[in-house]
Amino acid sequence: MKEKTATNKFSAFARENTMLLFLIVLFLLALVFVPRFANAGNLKNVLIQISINALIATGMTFVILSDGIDLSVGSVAALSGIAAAALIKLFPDANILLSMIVILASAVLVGGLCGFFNGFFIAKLNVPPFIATLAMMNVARGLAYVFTDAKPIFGLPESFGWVGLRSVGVIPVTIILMVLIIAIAYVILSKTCFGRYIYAVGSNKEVAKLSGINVTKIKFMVYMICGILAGLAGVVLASKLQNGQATAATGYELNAIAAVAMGGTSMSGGRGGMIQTIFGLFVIGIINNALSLLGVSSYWQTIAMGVIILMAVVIDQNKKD
Amino acid sequence: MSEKPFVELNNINKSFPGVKALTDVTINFYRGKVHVLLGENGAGKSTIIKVISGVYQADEGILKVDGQEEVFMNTRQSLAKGISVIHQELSVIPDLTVAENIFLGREPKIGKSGLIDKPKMNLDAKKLLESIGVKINPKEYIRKLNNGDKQMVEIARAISQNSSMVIMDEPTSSLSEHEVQALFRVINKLKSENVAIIYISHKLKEIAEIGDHITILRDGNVVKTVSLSEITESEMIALMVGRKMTQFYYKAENAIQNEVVLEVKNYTKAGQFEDVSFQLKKGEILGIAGLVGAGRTEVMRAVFGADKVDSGECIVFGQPVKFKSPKEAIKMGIGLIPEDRRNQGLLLEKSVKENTSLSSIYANSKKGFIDFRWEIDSTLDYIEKMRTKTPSERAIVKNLSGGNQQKVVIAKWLLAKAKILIMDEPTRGIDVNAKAEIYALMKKFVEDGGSIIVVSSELPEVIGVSNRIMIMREGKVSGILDAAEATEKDIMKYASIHAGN
Repeated sequence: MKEKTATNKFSAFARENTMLLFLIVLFLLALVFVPRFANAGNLKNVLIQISINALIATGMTFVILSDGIDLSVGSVAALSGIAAAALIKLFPDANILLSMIVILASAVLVGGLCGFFNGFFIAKLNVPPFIATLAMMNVARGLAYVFTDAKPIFGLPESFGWVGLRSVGVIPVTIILMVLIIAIAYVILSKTCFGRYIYAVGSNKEVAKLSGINVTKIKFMVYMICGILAGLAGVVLASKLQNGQATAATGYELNAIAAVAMGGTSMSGGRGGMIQTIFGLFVIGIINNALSLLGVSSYWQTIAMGVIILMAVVIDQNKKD
Repeated sequence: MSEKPFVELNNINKSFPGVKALTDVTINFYRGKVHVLLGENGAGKSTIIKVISGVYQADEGILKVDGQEEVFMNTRQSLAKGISVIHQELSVIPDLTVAENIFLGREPKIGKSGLIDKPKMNLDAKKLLESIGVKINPKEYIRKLNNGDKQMVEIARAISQNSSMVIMDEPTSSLSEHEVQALFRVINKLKSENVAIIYISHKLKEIAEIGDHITILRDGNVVKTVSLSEITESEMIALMVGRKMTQFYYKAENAIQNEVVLEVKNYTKAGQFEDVSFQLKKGEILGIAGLVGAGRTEVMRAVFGADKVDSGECIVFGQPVKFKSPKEAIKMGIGLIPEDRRNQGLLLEKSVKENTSLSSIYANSKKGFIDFRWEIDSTLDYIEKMRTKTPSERAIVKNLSGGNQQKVVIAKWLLAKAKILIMDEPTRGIDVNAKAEIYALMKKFVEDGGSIIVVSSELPEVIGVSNRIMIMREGKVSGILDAAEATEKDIMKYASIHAGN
């Protein structure tokens, strides 16, 4: 066992870290072949571009690790953004602190409530996650239209844009928020009993139950977390766009699922984590950014994204054993 | 028996890693006869069926069908030679109709169009069902049928393939008395059409009624093949269990104390078990014997809070309890080692460390944060104490042998400080050495003041490790014996379904 050769060690490392290698290769290719990619300003752009997806994908990581799925995140994000926009309109002279409170409250209340319902139907009433969250996806989006009458909410106080548009020193608030949330999620998933239980439930619910884990509670919690983070992404997006609209974040659930799956987190739960999701986010972010810089049309970017997601997962699935 | 046998087994041997499943098995099966295979769980009945039907291939020996030497690589090849198997777990598809199930994969087509000729299919199915004397609507969905009718559909499917041999693995385990009689009529009809039948059952009364020949198996050996008219029920039991006791059981004789740690009163769950009552003392090992399907596992899951009961009481350490989840049972010091280790006992894709710590990680955490030092130290501690063979505490449990996997499950409960261990078939699929080690661990556990309930289908094991033995039959307690005086014969008498009982 100990006398493994260097090559063996490398191939073992490569097998376990396919995504990391993929990311490094991609990054190097972009550095060499894409003009202006390496600018500090552009790299900051990459981070800003992935930040909204990062918030949603973090919640999605919790859900997928528990052997679930949440299709409602895009709609929940839109609904939360609208709630925040509508609420801040009541305070035209709001300062940054008040704006922040409104933003956080909207995210936690709207996102949390949607997550609560998802969790209730999935954990308590045994509705398959795909169906329960598909229903929520429709309900939340519909509510967003009903509430706004399909008209964007404009004319928000300037302070509302702080989270989405401003920087602390040279670092945009969005990036700080993303790093903070990812760090907290990483700690929860890898250092706490709660995190361990999520993996156990995702690996085998029956074993988890017979080992004394409250499977219902764990499932409930992951959908709550996912809902709140989707809500947060929604309000950050509204802040960035300076409006709240019912069409916001359409299709974002698929970007989030793509980031999680591409990183190598198992879609049947139990394996993966935040590190994998970070890889997935960066791969998607870098590809989009590089193709834009190369002047590839957004239609072709979409096609490229589909192909690359498929490629990454094919490599990941076939490396085992 | 001047006639030539349809299927001949000559000196068949079959081994699996760590187990010799069949040793020099020689049996002849004749057309127009019902040949019974009888033996305890693990005696080799299923392996014989699987060798004949091509699920397994014999390591040595010759299988002849119609005088022709054959090696079936899969069930399709045996089916082509006219051998059909009706499994204990019915393999009909609930959301297809009776006719669709019977002709699955062989649907009559309209010309060469590829479209199914439904009227013909339904008509053929109707004729077929009538030919075995059962009235089932071929257009009915399987999920609407009762178990007896589902069984009939399976039989119809088997004979529609012009089978020369039909193998039935415990066909009556889920049938009512009335349905059993209907099945027997069909079997007699098949006999009259010169079909060879292999019939596996634990129900001695049935065997005597329907069988022509019987082969009794024990530990993968043929003990005796005889005509059923020449053997009595008690002789069958004696031959089935008459094995010498081996000496590797470690019985903790003096560990028992007077304190009753667990008492179950009148536990009842409709369709699973009825009026089950027993006591477990501190330092005691209580064995639970009975046939597969007698309700033993179901009672244990209920005691552990994994399933609900309809009525009954449970008292743990003097305290009346009604566990709504295993979590509550674990808090009271109970641990369950499930029968299905790979699907219920272990997170197969996770490490030895993660599995070992799973039930105690919270109690040893720092406000919910995992104490990784504690986790590694205690896992290594148990690996050493239990002599678990694993490359490291980070090894994935899927890659360990059965015995070492079981040690990981036991370690999980020891680490969670369980005082009462419920072990369901703790040594299934485990080699002899690892078995002895697990028995030693059990002895140590009760000597340290713990108590064990051990469910086992292996009679020597139950007798060897237990202080008392409770026997279950069809969901009820049929007897409680002192293990020191119990013989395998006594236990089988209480466990089997006899005439008059």
